[in-house]
Amino acid sequence: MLLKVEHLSKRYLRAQALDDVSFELNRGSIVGLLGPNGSGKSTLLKCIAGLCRPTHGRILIDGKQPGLETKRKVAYLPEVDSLYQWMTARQAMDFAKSFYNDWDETREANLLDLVKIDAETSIKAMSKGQKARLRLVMALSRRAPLILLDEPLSGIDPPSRSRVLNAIVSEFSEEEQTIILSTHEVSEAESIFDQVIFLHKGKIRLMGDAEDIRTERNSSIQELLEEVYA
Amino acid sequence: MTAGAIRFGKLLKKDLESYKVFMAIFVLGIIAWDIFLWTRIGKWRPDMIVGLTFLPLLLIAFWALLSPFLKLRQEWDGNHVHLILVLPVPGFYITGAKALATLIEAIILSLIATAGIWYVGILALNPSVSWVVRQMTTADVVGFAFQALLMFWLALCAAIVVVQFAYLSGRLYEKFSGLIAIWTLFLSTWVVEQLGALAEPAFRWLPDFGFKTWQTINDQLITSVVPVSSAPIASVLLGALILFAAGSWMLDRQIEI
Repeated sequence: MLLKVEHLSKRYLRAQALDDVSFELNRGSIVGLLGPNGSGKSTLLKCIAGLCRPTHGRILIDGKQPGLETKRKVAYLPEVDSLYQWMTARQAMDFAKSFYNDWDETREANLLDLVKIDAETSIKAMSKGQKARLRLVMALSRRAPLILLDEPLSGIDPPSRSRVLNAIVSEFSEEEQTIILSTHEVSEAESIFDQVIFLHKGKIRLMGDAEDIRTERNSSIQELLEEVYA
Repeated sequence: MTAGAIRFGKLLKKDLESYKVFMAIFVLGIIAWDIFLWTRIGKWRPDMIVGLTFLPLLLIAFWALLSPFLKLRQEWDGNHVHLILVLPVPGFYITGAKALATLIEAIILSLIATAGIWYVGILALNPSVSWVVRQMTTADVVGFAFQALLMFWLALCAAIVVVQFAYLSGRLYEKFSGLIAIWTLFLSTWVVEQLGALAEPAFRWLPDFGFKTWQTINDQLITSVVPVSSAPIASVLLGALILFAAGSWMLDRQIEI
């Protein structure tokens, strides 16, 4: 079991972000984490990444609670732009890679080529979409068992989104990795999902194998999402 | 070099590089100030010029107090905290790198400021002061400057840790984090002082040291040694170390983003 989430609740000062969320994931799947704004997607990913702490319940990554050891096994791409503006893309990647033994330079080169980023470009000079693509390269260049992508398509123009999705699929190692990807661009991303988790007001509304759900409900994930959140 | 040391070095390098432009401006500012004071020799009162050569040291102390706050706030304001808090390093690597970066910056700036005091305030200015200086050996001068700077740097170490701790305490709360940080700043300064007073007897075994000072009385150079006890200094540094550990633990285990 790569990831086990047990009765996870997270309360902020004024809001219940997550409410008794439980699920388990093994290696080898791309999981779509879906839901409207404020449904708890980012909070769930942050809790798994060790950036926030559960109010109740627990998270186990390879049997360990989030901490120093699990940070070696989790690659996290935040929704916000976390890059240092004074660095070049190369400096940002060199900084990140020095902390991770699982950084794969071949992957890095392939991804840079795939998403069309020049490593010598200054981050300050990059567009929002270029920065988003660079952050994706930094998350996917690692051979981390668990990859958390929070809105990786956000800020990326429609023509580039398919390149980004191709990058995610092409560098995904089914034997050793699991990707949890939250997105609002469901229609574009749903073809890559093996499993989906629908969150609503901090609770899981629906979870299962993406293909089974499509077959059972006879609708696409996008249509189902619209139906669930109508 | 171990992997841990390399990672700490990477964090330190990043923290130093992010302020390199500011540092260059600060260094140029100190040099410009000293050149300006040099041009005032013979026009302004000598004691006023001597006093003004110490102004950069005051600014450096102020900068060293502000810098730990700015270095941490920049991580939050720029959302870089999402990047650094997922790095597989203990919290003290992050706080330690930032504290050390501030200290290195303060050391570089204070050495340049001291050189300015030496050249403008002592050598070039007042014949009577220069006479005193001429009576001192190079070892005397270097020893005095080193002792004074060491005390200055140790005081900065404690202050840097207190400011870091106060900022991180504020980050524990969603609301009123600024007010909590300011309140914690005063409280933790008091705590370090109290810890220092409590632990002081335990350090009395440390050898005391003396500051050698010089003065002229009736054209005679008189040297005297002002004794300084090591125990209070060591106990305040212990208090600061405890606060550093607490701040790093908060960053590791308590702070959320």
